[in-house]
Amino acid sequence: MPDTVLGDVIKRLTEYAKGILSHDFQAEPIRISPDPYNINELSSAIEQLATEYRESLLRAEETVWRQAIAERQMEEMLLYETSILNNMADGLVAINQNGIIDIFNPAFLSMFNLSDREIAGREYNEIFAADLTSLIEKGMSGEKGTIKGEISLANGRIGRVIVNPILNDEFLGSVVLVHDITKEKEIDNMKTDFISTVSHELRTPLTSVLGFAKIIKRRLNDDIFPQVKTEDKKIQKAINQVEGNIGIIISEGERLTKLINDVLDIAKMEAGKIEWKKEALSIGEIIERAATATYALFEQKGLRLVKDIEDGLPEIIGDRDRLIQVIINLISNAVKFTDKGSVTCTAKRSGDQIVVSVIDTGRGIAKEDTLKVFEKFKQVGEVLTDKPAGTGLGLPICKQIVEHHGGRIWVESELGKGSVFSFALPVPSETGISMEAIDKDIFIRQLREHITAAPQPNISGKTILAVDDDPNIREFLRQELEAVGYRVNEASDGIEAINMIKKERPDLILLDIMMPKMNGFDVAAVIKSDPATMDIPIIILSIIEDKERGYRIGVDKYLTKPVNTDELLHEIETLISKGASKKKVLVVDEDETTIKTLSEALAIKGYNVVSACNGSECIVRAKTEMPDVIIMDSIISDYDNIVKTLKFEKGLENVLFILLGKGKR
Amino acid sequence: MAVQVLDAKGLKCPQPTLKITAMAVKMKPGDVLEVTADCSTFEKDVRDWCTRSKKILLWIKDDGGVKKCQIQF
Repeated sequence: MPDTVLGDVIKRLTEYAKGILSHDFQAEPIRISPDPYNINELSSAIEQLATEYRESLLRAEETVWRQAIAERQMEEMLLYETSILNNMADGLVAINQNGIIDIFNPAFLSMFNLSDREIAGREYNEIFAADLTSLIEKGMSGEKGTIKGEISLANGRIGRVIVNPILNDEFLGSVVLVHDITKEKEIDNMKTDFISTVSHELRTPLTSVLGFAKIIKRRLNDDIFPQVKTEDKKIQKAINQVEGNIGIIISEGERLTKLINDVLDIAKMEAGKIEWKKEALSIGEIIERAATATYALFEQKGLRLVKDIEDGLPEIIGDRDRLIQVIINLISNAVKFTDKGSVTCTAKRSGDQIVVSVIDTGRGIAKEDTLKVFEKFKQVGEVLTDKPAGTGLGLPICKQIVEHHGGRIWVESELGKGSVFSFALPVPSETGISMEAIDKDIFIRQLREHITAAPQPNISGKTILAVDDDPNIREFLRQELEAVGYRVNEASDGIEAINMIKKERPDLILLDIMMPKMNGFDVAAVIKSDPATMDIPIIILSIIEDKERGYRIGVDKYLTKPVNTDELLHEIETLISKGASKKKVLVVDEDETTIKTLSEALAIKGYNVVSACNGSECIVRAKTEMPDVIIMDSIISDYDNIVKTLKFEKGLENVLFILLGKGKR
Repeated sequence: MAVQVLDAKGLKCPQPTLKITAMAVKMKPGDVLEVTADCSTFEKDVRDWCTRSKKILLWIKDDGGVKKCQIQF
């Protein structure tokens, strides 16, 4: 090949290569013929290089493209999630594992009136108030379960807080949700107020109706009817009718009272307004209490109560009074529907539950009614022949109580074959010791302990029943009491005591607690639950310190042994004379009819009555009239301020305060 | 009609067009991207890119030794 042709070819190759360098990928490769120096091969090689170069550029472009798309998707997701946070109604804040405030939303800031500058990157315990801080602390400490609480928000609002750990194989911090419940609380308070008001409004006129009806009955029987001496059959008939009618009014009034109480009870339970107590309880002991309280029912019908309580049953946590209420209810029902034979109460462990059953040999319940019995106001039986004896709310209330304790209640029965009512309560896995809520009634009685009426000894002819299993104690009491002029009867155990009370009603009972067969508390309970004996004053003398239980049953005074004789005599005088002398009573109530009813009832008992209709008038009257006793409706606000105020008045230090009804307090 | 600006001066091929690719993800239809680059193969690359991505090259000009163009998305 001549030089000039070769030179030309090389020039063309160079142009080709340069074209590729400047990204002219469309350039045609060089092809020559003849090709003595294999220029075509070089040209092909360059062409391949170009192709590969171009392809790697395109691949790079595709990679960049994919990456950019992925980034954009992540950005959009982040934007979306941020929008969710920004538009949430609840406040949210995330604290990282070092306690630093990481993420929060506008709702959170506004709930606490904070700005993001103030909290971003700061430690939570530097910024948040103590109530929120302590909840977060619990969450950060790895405490198991969801942590909930209520805290104060800005502008007097209230929030509910839930703290959860942020977990992702490892602990990453805590997330806090805050929900504004101010409105909810308001509605809650309205509900409470409504229930209290309705309760008060319904009971007040009923108190008058029943009260006056009873007074009328007494006046008719004591003062009027005896004066009517006539052979006239018509008048006789009229008298009988009036007597009967008044009796019906009273019993229906009492039934109405019970109905109102039950309705309010269940309304309160359903509204979550009941203050449930929590304490460790022994089922056996509760059953004993219920048995004691229903003793009279069995006696009346000549039935037996058989108890079969398994040994070694574990304790459960619950509200003692309410559970006793359940068992009493079941036993009462059993007695109601059984005409002869016995009622059995059993308690046994079944897995992680304790099952209590009340078995009767009564007429049974039809299968289709076994669920209905737990519905409100459904009483089963023949509509036309069976008069409803109860309120139809007993079992629904039991259901509420049992279910509140995490249990279940049911009945197995067949018509004609009796029924088995059972409820199961869970056994707690660890028995915790919990604080008992302070019972208002107990508080009132203890309050009374500080205020004693001035004693006016009037001993002659008064009988005291001394109950103690120790003959020496009985002898001691007999001597001390007879020395000052009292008549003394003795009983060595609870059963004997109850029988003696029935035979001869004492003016006061001195009661020991530790006694065989039936302990003193149970005796007191029986006495206090029987209308015929409930107003006999009881003084408990015991070595056991359990004042609250005593007051809960309703004893008047609780003295621990060894007892000072002078103190004992003083207390006896006080309690006995309360019924005898012409004491002055100040009645305070907003409702005029209530004042009238109470005044009449007190006057019959021999008291001198004055009245006031509100707190300030009460104070004024008390100062001028110097009463021995002040009876107040507990809805009158600031009652304990009134008590404090009056106690400091000269001459009123020993005034006895009696509060009526269960008001807001 | 937003005009985004991409300064690819000092970047050697293939970086300018890769950057255009990355920005393309964020462009919405109707947006315009103005690119400035001084890479020698830029004009060819950008034309090629527009052909492949089916976008319109509005114009390309020389601006004192530096190439400037606008791509319509």
